Amino acid sequence: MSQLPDTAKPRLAAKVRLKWDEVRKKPLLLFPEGVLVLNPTAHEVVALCDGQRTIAEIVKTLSEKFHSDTIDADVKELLTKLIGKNFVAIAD
Amino acid sequence: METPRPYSLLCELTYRCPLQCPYCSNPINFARHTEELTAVEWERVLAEAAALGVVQAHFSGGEPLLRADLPQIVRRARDLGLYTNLSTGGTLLTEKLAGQLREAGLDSLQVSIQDADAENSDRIAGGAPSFDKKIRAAQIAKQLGFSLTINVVLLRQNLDRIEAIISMAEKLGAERLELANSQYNGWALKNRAALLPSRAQVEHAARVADAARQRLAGRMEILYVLPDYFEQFPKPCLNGWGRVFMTVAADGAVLPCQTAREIRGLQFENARENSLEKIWFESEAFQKFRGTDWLPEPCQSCPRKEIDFGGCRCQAFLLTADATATDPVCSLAPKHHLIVETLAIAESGADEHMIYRNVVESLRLQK
Repeated sequence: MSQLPDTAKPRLAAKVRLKWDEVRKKPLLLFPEGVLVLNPTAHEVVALCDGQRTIAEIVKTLSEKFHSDTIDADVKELLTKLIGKNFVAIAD
Repeated sequence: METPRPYSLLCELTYRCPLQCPYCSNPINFARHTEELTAVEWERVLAEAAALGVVQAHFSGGEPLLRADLPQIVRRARDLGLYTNLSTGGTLLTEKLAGQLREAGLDSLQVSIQDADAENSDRIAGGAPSFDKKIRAAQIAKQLGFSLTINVVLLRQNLDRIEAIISMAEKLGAERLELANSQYNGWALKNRAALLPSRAQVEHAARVADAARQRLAGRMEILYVLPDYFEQFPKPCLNGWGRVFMTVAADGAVLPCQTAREIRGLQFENARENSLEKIWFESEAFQKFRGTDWLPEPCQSCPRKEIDFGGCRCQAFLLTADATATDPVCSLAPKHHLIVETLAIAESGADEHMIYRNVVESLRLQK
């Protein structure tokens, strides 16, 4: 897959839901035949994939929150993976 | 090691069904289990499941749309924060019912179709003609904005139309197409001589599915499940017995997997009498094959034992009469010759006769 543009607006795919699991105290992605336990970083990113924010805005939000300059590549790598697995789509 | 908690609950709301698919995963003796849980009982089961750690409820059957209280049950599952998925044959889906399910918060809808060819789909499903109604159900689901999956169980009778099946799902606007080769337990095992494909069919379909997956990436997800008879190693039975998954059957029996009733000698507790928590952690059926300590050789010393857990318990029992045996589909299993011999017969052609899954046959076969 080619590099994701900064202006793309990622959102969760229609079949996917983000849930905080109260029993295990972990964030989960739920989809028709499975469950993905998210690590804390992935949770931060996925929670911002609302189809409104651009990737640039997501990176900016997280850079400010974590005082880090290397977030851009991490976010794009993660989103590329999630798009490849059809968990995340780019909003029209 | 601490006992894990289940993520997923399969609710087989009824064993009644207007279809008669000869590969059905319901137990052969389904007709004997007629006392269905009520909606109130299902609501309690769902609440217990959520407290136990379940995050997904899959509603199937039989045909779950035969339950007039389905929207109520789905709504309760959603109120509990569960992801809800419905597997239906589709023939009973109306716009009104689909609207009620949408409103109840159903997350995902799966419609099974038996083939892209109407006549052949009807022949496989048995009973009254169903293909046109299934197509209509898929269209209704799309109109109402559901995330739609088309499920096709692959058999000798439909594998050669894999291209047409993929393009049918594409035209219907499915987000996902599940192409799962039949698992030969229960009804499918009774009909194995008719349903089991040739190796050439399976390999052709795998190539076509793979090419389609790449062509349709980002538009329609394609899941292709290989038939375990043709593989070197067994499938990871439930990702571990009593580890992530549990089933509550129509009559309230709590099962480690929906076909576990095929294992004679295993006793199952009922959700009417005990809590899911107690059954999950303490019942004999759930503890019997949990973990890897019970595994026989060659599994016990196998580096794959945490990957496939010795394979499918139901298959081991049905083919060897010993539920603790290594799944015979494994190339290392002592009884692997059973599979080799069966495949050789399938290469030389198929039996035309099929036993349809219906009440009459269920009662006859369990005499």
